[in-house]
Amino acid sequence: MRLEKCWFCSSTVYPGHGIQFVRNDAKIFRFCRSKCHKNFKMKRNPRKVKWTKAYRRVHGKDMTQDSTFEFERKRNRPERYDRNLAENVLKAIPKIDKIRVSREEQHHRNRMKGKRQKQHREAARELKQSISLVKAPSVFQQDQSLTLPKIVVSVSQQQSENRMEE
Amino acid sequence: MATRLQFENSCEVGVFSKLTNAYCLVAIGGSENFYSTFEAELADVIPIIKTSIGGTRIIGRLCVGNKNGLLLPHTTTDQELQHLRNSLPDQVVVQRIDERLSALGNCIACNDHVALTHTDLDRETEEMIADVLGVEVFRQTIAGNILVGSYCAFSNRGGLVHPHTSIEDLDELSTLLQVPLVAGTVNRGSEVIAAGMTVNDWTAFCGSDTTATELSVIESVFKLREAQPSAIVDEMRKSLIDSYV
Repeated sequence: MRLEKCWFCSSTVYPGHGIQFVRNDAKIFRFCRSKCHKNFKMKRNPRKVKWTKAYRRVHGKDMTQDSTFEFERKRNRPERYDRNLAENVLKAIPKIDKIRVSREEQHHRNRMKGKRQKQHREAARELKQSISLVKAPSVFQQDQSLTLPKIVVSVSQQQSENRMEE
Repeated sequence: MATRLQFENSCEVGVFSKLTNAYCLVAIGGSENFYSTFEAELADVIPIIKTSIGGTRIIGRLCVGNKNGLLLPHTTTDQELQHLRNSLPDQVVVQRIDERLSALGNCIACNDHVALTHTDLDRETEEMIADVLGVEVFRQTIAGNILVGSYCAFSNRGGLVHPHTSIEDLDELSTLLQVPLVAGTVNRGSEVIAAGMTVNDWTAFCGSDTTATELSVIESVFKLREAQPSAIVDEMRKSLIDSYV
């Protein structure tokens, strides 16, 4: 029994689940649940809907190119059955799976690398720019240490008044 | 020799079987009488494989093949694909193709050297046919019918086409195929030739309604009277040696 992937969210469609739509040009669309089917009927593009696998792939959230993906593929030209080969394949499956998981974790770590510093920077900036939201301006007047010292600037107002009189 | 037989009271034996020079596929779940007719003719020469395609028994209309390979429609399940791969000889390539039209047997007619195809077939499919079956591919119609696979049957020695084919079309087709062609019928006047019969280089199976006249036409155009597997090999050897000298 082949477990097909959902056209919208790319999750596996298990037997007895979901719905299948065949367009009149013979293209087959499989959906894992009514959520995906309804989104399809609303003509949403899975690449633009954030919770789908397609979105995550397009936006570099998930690992896209890896040799471990080459194993899980629909094959149109079969190999002749060989008992030893089949046995080795069955043994290899958990190993490949482990490798794939570790690579995905690595990908996630790489993607999240600068996250901590970025959060720090943003927090510092917010503190600097929006401290007035936390403390009222009257507090600053009372406690001079919280504000920057004022610089006195000399303004020449009298000259302009004299010119007006002339 | 041509043999007359039935599949469950149906004379359309070309629908329920596929005969080539390297193997023979028969639909699963038929009567023993049907299988034993094939086995009596072919058992010691080529493998006879019982199979379904996409869970159906109309295998002759769904798949297409010759001695080099076998093409299966996208409806074929993985289990059937694996069964066919395990049962067929190694030199026969088994390939499933993602073609929109799933009745490949109706859309493609071929022998070991040339193939006629439906006009709307994908370019990729056309390449796949040339690659897997090792044939030259021509997009053709037969007497205005686009289902070339249904309305003609040909081997490397001769061919039978739809009875309404004009003389000019017949000439054009026989120059394309490089085999002599005859317009005719099977199953007491049925014009769907390939559904009513299945043929290879040395034997043919026709529906049991086929009349003696039709049978004699079939035997003469496919040159089945003198043909035996060994005789063909002798003849091929002769022609090969001729071409070398």
